Amino acid sequence: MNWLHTWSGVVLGSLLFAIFWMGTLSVFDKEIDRWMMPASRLALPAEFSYETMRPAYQAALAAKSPSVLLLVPNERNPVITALWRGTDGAFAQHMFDPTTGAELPDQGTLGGSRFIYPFHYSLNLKVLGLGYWIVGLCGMMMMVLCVSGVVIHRKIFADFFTFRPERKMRRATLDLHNVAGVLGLPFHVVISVSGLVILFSLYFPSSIWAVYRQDVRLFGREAYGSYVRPPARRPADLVSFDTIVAKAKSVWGQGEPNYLYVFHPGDAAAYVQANRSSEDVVSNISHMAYVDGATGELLSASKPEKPAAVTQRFIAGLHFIQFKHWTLRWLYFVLGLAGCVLIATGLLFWVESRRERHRKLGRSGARVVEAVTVASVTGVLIATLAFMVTNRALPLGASAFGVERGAIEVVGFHLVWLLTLLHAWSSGGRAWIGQCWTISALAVAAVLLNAVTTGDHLIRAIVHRQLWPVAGIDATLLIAAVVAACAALRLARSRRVAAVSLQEAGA
Amino acid sequence: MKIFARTALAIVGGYVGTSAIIAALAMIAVAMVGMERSEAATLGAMLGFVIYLGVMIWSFAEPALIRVTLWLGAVTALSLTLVLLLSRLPS
Amino acid sequence: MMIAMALLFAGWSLLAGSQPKQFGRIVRHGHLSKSTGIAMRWAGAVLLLASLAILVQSEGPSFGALVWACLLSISAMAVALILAWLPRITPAT
Repeated sequence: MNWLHTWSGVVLGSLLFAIFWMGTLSVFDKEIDRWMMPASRLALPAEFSYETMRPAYQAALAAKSPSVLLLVPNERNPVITALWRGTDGAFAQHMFDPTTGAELPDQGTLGGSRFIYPFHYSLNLKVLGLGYWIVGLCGMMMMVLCVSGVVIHRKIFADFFTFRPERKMRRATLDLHNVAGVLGLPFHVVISVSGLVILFSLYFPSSIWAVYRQDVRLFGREAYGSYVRPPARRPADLVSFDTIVAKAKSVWGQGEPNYLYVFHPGDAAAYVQANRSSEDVVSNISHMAYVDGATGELLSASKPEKPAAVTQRFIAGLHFIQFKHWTLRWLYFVLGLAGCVLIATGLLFWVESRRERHRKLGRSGARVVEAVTVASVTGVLIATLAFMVTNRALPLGASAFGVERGAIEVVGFHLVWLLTLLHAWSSGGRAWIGQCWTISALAVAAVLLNAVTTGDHLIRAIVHRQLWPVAGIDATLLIAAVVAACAALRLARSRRVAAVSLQEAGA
Repeated sequence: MKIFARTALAIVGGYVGTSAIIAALAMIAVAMVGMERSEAATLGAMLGFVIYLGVMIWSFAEPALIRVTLWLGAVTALSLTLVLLLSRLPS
Repeated sequence: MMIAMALLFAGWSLLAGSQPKQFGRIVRHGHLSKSTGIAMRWAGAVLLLASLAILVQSEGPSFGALVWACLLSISAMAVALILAWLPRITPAT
């Protein structure tokens, strides 16, 4: 078990850290969106009329898109978001003002919800859906690591609160690994399991194939009550969105929809899928109503879910945190960071216990793993901050070498990540200190750039309610800057102490 | 080499075995317990994660790799036979 | 919520204090008698459960239990971190 924990940890630790880090950030993906898309820092209207979505729908109609997904504005995402297939055949996202319905200028960024969040579950690797499978395997291995970790950690209760930072680096690292692992164990297990259970039909389709045989699509219809019909190829107008929503609400009672999905816009057989928002329950319920676009009649509605489906939606809800609960959101964020600490200290312990021995034996193992560890821990933090700094430094509509603004940010992220690896390799153990200082500097730069380019500095952001997401991000960045600076100072001091004692030993 | 075989067995063998087991379980639930199809499929897939975890840990922990291989092979074969038999049943 | 947090923190502190190893860290050269240890352990457990009751009452069963589970981990980590730095804050006299 010890062997299993050590080696699967070293092999997958870097990837796991990236997944956990991006997941932790995804807790606040919408807030990161507000920070990276200044035009969307809007206040919700007191009274929202669903007809405000009409211009967004008209724009999709004009682009002859076969369908259009309209996200209803809410507290965290105060804009009408519309997704449709453009005339060039590619899906594009557009934002509309929740009060006037007018289209907002393209912000030229993927932001939190289209870069950081998909990175968390697919590494943004689209080839053959490979990213999903790698993340899925990492999720399974995280559970294997949790189980084997508990088995090898014999003195689990005696060491329950034991953290001795005054001890040697190696011992203190192991203590911190144990504290973060044991005290956060329920979270680590639940978050890994629930992440996998969300995509159960992707990861374990064999039970669906077995009972549905040829017609797998029937599963969606029976399990979720999904409804499809072909277009009539006759033009017709869509009834008022308020009528559609009122009809949908007659199915599920109180509760607003979180999205309206219009199929065959402009066609006589157009229909709208409305889904009840699950912001007041833990479970990520899928309670859908299908309304006829031309007549406003109810076509179909999902039936009450059965036990297995209810369980699956609840577990998924635990992971998705789509509910409106700010305390829980922050608690998840803190626990996510604890998960990052767990993985990082695990990797660090491996390096610390082998560094001297490998150096004496002339083996490169510890050196390679240390470089990879530095790049995957502080490196991914730096890359993320570089992503945000690039976002605020580039003007709207910028492009270079035919690459659009949003893509430049993504290229910047990967380029900086690669640079941190090169830096880690070239400067060995000192790399931690340099990269901690870089984190500190970039975090401060991000806050300053946001203040300069948008005028929404921290004080202003605290005063205005609709700027609180920005205030939260800025404050978190500043705290991160301080923590990184403290870490750099502490590391530099312990290096000096080590160097002095080494000299004394030599003399 | 031994480590490679063990890892492959745990990850690939475990996945194939688990898939076969849950397919059989879902079919049994539908044919014999009378569970609804969508429920059986969802429950089977969710159980899959637990079974897969168990198989993975077992194949890493068991000293005699051959024992895991034989057991896993036997259970997989049995499950696939069940799937074949049950799919012949008129539904 | 705040009351629940305080209860959790106090509960974990008592549980940590009931371990002879940690007791020696908190109270310098102090000796923990067996009966005090057991009493502290029980009191700690009661406080942890009481916080669950409060949270379920104020947040509803599902949200209450979820908040409790999260806070349980976080407050235990906070106790562990504070214990780690405590000897430096209260130097030996």
